[in-house]
Amino acid sequence: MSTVHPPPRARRGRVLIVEDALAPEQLGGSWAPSAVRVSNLFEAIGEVAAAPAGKPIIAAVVAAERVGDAGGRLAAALRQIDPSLKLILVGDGDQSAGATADADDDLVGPVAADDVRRILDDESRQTPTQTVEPTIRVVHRPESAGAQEGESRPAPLDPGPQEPLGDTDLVEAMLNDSSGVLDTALRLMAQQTRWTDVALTEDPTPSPGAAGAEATYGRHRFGRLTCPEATTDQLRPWADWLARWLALDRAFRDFRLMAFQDTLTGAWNRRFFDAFLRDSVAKAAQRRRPVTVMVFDIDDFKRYNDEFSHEAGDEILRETVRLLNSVIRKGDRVCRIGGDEFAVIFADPEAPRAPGSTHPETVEQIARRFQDQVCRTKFPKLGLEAPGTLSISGGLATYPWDGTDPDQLRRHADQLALESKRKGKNVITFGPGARREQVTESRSDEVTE
Amino acid sequence: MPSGEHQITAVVLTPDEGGLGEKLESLLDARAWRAVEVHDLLLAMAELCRRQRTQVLRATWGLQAADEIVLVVADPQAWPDAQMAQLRGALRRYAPGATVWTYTDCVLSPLDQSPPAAVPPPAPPVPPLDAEPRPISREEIDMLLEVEPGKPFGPAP
Repeated sequence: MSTVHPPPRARRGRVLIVEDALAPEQLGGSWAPSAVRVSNLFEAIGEVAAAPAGKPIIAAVVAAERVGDAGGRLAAALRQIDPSLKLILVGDGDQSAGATADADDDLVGPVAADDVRRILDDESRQTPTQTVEPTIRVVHRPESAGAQEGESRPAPLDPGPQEPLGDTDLVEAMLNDSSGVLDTALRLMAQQTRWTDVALTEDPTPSPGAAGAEATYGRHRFGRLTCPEATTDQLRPWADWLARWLALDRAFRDFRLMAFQDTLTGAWNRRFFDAFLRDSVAKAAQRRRPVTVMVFDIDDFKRYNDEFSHEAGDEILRETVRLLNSVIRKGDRVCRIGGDEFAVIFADPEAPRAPGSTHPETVEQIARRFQDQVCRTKFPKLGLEAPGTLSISGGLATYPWDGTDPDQLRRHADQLALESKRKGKNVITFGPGARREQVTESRSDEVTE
Repeated sequence: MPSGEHQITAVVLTPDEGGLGEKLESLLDARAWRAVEVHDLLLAMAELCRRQRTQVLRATWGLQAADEIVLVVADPQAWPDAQMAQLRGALRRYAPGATVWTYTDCVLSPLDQSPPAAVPPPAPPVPPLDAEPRPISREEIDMLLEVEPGKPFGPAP
C-alpha cells in the first residue's frame, strides 16, 4: 500500500484520546486539533460514529498496553465506521509487541507520546514545511471544466491559498466555481503529497517509462495524471480519487442542466423561468433598472401540428428558439413555459446598448426583429405550400411600471398576449411600462407585420 | 425494502464462527429479525453504531421509517463481564435505540426494559411525491445562478 493516501476530508477534524493515552496539550503543534477524550474502546467507536460530518475524528490515540493484541480488530472496527481514520498506539515496543500484529500500515505505533504530535503533523500533511510552493500544471481540462479552445500549452497556476485545502473546498468549487473542481483538486493533491509538478494531461501516447495513471471512472476518462516526482503506484490512488471528484462534478453539472432545460428545444424550462424572473425582478429593484417579460405563442400552432405532423411541430418549436437566441442579448433568457408558449426575460444589465455594438439594442427592436424573422423563415417540414406563413402573437410587460412583482409582471404580459390574439394575430402588444421603456423613434403600441 | 416497512436487524454476537445454529436461526426467523453475525465485541459495537448512524441519517432525510436494532449476545458467559459492561454502557450512550438480548440454552430473552414490540408499530406516513415539481427556492436558485459572479448562467445564445 502506498504511504500517501488521497485525503478524505479537510483538516478540520478532531483527535480522539482513549483514557489517558495522551495529554491533550501534547497535541499542540504547527496545527492543533481539538481533542475528545473517552473512557474505553467501545466509547471510542461510538464517538467516531457520532462525529458530525463537519467535525470528524481524524485519528484515535490509544495506549498500546490497553489494546493488547486487539490492535488489528480495533482498527477494523474503527474503519468500519470511518475507513480514513488513523489509529495511533502509544507505548514502547516491549509493552505491546503484539498490538500491531494483524494491523495494516494505517495503524501507527507503538510510539512514544511525544511522537504523536509529529505523526499527526506528518499525516495531516496540511502544513508544508517547504519554502517552495508547489507548481501545478493543467495540461488538459475536462470539457466540463471550462477549457479554452486552443489551450494546449501547460499553464502554471496560482499555487492557491496558504490555508490547507480539504474536501469542503472541493465541494465549494463544485458549487461555486464555473471551472469546476479540477484546479482545487490538483492544488489539494500538491499540498497533501508535496509533489511540485502534478498535471492531468490528455496525451494518449505517454513517453515510455514515464510515470502516470489514468483518471477514469466508469466509462468516463478524464485524462492521465502525471508527476515527474512520483511513481505510477503512487499516482494511481490519486488518479482514482481525482476521477471520482471529476465524475461527481460532471454529474452535478449535467443534473443541474437537466433540471432547468427543455430537452426538445434547448430553451430554459418553466422552473427556470419562475426562478430567473423572480431573481431578475429582485435585482432590478436593487439596482433601479427595468426588466421586461415577453410572453408569446405561435399562431395556429395546433393546426400545424395536426396537419403537418408532430415532427413538423417540433421543428417549429426548435427553430423558434434558435431564432430567438440569435437576436437576444447576452443577459436575456429564452424559456419554453408551455406547449407552444414561450417567454423571454429581457434582463441584460448592459441594455439598451449591446456589448460591441454601436447602436442601441432595445427590447422593442429585438421583438420586432424576431417577429420579422419568424415570418420570413422557411420550415421545410411544413411543405412547399406552407413556408412564410408562421407568425407569433405576444405581449411585453416591464417592471416596475407594468407589475411590481414577478407574478404581476407575468400576468400582465399574458393579458397583453391575449389582446394581441384578439387583434388578429401576428401582433405584439407593449404594456404602458414596456412602451415607456423603449427609446426608439417608433412609439407605436403595436408592432405588426 | 419497501418504504415504510418496519424491520428489525439483530446483530448477533457469537463466539462460534460456525454459524448461528438452527435453533437460534429459527427463533430469529419467527420474529422476522434479520441477523448479522459478528464474533468480536469491538466489531459488534462498530456494526451497531454504523447502523444507528445510518438510521439517523435516513430518518433525517425522511427516507423511511426508523428500523430497530437489536444486539443478541449468544452465550453471554463467553465474553468478559467488564467488556460486556463497557459495551452496554457505550451502547446506551451512542446507540440508544438498540436493545440487548441474550441467547442462552436455546432461549432468547431481553436484557433491557423495553424490548422491541412483537407487532411492529405502524410506520410514520411517507410524504407523497409532489405531482407537480415545486418551483425552486430562492436559496437554491441563488446557489445555482451565482456560478460565476458577473457571468450569466445559461446556454449560449
